[in-house]
Amino acid sequence: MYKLLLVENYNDLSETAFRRLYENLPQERQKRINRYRLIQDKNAAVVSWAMAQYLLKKEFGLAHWSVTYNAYGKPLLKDYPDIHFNISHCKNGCLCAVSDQPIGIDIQDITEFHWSIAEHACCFEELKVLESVEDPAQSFTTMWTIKESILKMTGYGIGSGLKEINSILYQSRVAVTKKQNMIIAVAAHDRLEDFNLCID
Amino acid sequence: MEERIIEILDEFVETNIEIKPESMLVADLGLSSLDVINIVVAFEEEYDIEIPDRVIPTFATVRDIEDYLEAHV
Repeated sequence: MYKLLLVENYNDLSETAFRRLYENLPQERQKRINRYRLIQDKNAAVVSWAMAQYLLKKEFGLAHWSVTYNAYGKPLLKDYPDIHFNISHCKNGCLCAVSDQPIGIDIQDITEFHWSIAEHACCFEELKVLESVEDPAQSFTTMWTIKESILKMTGYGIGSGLKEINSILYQSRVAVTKKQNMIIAVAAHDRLEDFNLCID
Repeated sequence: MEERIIEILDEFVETNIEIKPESMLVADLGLSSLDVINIVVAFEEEYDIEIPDRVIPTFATVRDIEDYLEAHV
């Protein structure tokens, strides 16, 4: 089971709404948010963690929980090893997922394509695909979100090697969708059989 | 080297925030993981080196990047 929530245009958050969401977060989270200097980063953090609060309560009945981090920096629920959550944000969207299995998500704006970045992040097979597609910016962003979602699901992070993950081989395990100018990827521990990611 | 590092970083930071050696890449400069890869590639091209993915998570601040480059360039 997994539930996914997307909030678009989170930078439209009013000061009053920001304050209300912020005050509902644990002090430890508030301290982390206080470290952000840019208002858009503060907004993204407040909205993302408020979404996690909402989904964990709605789907698992968890009203109080705290977070710990694995050796690679992945946030995990401290006292609930069988309940998983993940958050991600980009310029225009905040995404949160909860699940009863390890899950990793990524949301990314489609931006200008650079071969040098692709060569750093992509394996040979992926580069061959990028050479042949009409829209390499969208294809690369899709590949990137698949890689990120897998790395976030496993909890190993970028340090374990971007090229090691051939996104083409993971297509049956990662659900991908496009929403406006954003690509969203969801990687679950089990295969996502008959899974269509649809966000209205 | 510090001045050049900040010049390169400035191309990727979208706001007018002053970049200092102690600036945190995420918390202060608002960089995403993809931004960090962009920056890594820019430094690889600038200094003609290869920065392995495994060291990227150690880049928390501008100074971390500077320390790495000073040791490897």
